[in-house]
Amino acid sequence: MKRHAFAAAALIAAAALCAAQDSDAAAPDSGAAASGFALSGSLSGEASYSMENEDSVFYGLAPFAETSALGVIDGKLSFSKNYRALGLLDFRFIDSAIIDPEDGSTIESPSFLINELYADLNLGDALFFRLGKQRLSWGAGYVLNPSDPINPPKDPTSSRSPREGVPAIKAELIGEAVSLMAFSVPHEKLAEFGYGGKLSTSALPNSDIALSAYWSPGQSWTAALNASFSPFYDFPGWDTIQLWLEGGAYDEARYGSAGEGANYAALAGFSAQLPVLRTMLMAEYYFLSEGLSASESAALYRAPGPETYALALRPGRVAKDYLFASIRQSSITDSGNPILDKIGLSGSCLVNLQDGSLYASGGISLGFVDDASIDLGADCFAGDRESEFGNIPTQISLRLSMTVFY
Amino acid sequence: MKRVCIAAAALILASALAAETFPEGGVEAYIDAVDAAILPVNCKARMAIVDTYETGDDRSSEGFLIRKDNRVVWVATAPASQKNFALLRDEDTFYQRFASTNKVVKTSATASSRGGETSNLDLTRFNTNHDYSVSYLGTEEIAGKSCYAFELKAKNRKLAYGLVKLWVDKATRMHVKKAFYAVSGMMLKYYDVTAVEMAAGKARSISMTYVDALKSDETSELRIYDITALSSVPGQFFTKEYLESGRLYPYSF
Repeated sequence: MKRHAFAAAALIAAAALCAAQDSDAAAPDSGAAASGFALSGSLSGEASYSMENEDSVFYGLAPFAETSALGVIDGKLSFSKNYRALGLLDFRFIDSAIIDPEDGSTIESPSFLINELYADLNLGDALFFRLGKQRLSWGAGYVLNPSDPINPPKDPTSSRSPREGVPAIKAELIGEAVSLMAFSVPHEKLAEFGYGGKLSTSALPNSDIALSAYWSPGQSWTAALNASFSPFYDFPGWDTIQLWLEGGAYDEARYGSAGEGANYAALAGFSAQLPVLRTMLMAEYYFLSEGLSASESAALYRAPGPETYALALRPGRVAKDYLFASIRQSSITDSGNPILDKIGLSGSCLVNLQDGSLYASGGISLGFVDDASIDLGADCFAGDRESEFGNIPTQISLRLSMTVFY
Repeated sequence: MKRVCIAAAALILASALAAETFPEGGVEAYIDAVDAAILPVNCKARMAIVDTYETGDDRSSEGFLIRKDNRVVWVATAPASQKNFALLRDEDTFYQRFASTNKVVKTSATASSRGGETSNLDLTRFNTNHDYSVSYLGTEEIAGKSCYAFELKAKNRKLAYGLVKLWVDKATRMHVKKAFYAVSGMMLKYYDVTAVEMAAGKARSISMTYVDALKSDETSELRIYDITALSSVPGQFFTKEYLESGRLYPYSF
């Protein structure tokens, strides 16, 4: 709540700054925009059914099998004043209704989440200030960002998890060869404020490299490296191959409670698009020094306690290492076929390499109406009684959703 | 051996003569002037594309672009599902920003990030001399217009087409036709310029039809309009960091 209040206060302060700017002097030339708002986003409705995992140690603790309906409005409202001042409100409104399996009644819970709410000022086309709730863009990894000390960690088993930012003030010096970012994240006490910076460059051919660091007296320090390469960028047909590495060292266990003292996490990824077929392939491997070995997690599942229950809340961040793979076909064909051009397919898999358990997800997307889609999806968790994904409370989930973009 | 030497000398002489006979001075300077007449070095413009397939199905998209010499950013404004998708060309490096997130990843020149007949390079190639070595071929009549014909050879392998032929209207210095060839010499696609709106010797809008040479029923109608010269464009617009920050490109159209 305090953070939302901070973000709102920051926005008001920044908006006042924007208003104080001389509009004519701010414009770089005759092409600059006047003040204005723009809105984009999507509305979606989803129905889902989840089957309970009867082999899970969590079985019986709560009714995990459920039939639910979900309405989601995602929106981005952007504001620009002349050229120098911008603002953004990125929000998500969700109204979920779960049908009680015993009496058929519905339990409804609406929620409103502000992912980002900030104001942005541009000084001389080189120095940019941003104040408010914001995602500090970080990390090359798709399913995990070990270099990111700030933003809420991603959930590799949920594609719909919100991309929520944090209240922060950021100054960014963007150069054509090197960029420098400095930021501060407020906490309740001034002495606990966190401070960080990032140095990034694309100066080396076919590569993007960033070094970053963060320190907070009340939390932890992080030092990190991000690097992505396109080793065959000069060779048509092979130029979609990309490799990336992301690593971070930090002094407190971030994902669980197992690691004491300094920890580290590393991720390596690969992606490519198959020529002609246009199929996107991606794979990521990541290692968490604070993660549990198969025998350590099995011991927790054999004798469930509070630590065991905590494991279910952070899927994909329990073990020492994981492998993620995904395949995506945005449309089966791209040749004007009235059916196959409108059908997209996707599949992904996350394997706990310690205990061999896995999470798999598949989906089909139908886009027969302009600016709208119907999506069918299924998630499945599999593994034995002493494994991570074998103990996820829901075993299979089926989803049907419709989305309209605006 | 003598005959071979004579033939080689004749070939060299012929090509030298051909280069010299270009009637409007240096070929490179002329091509720069042609490029600038279509799209100024610093400018903004809107773009609309309609892809039509042999099945009769079609797909349209709209966006705007900002150019600073050989650096271009293209931002989609329609369809709604693609709003905020952006393609950045920073010299010979291409990045794309996904419509739904601020994640920015490298992409290739040859890929068609928005689909259809137009590759990423087609959407962002406005500096001919940067990408190609140009030589003059002679004059030809195309679509009833007296044209200069040029041969363009790619300077590096990142470019989509090794060989391109270009026909420029002598009277207006506007493109009339451009044809793209594979290394084998087979024509892959071409475009015909279908309409040009001029103001003070510069294009205000230009429409062209890309045709798949192997499937002539597959076309992309590309229209660049509201072309406006800008006195300056910040170089920061064309960096990965700027694109990643989610900032807008706040030019009015």
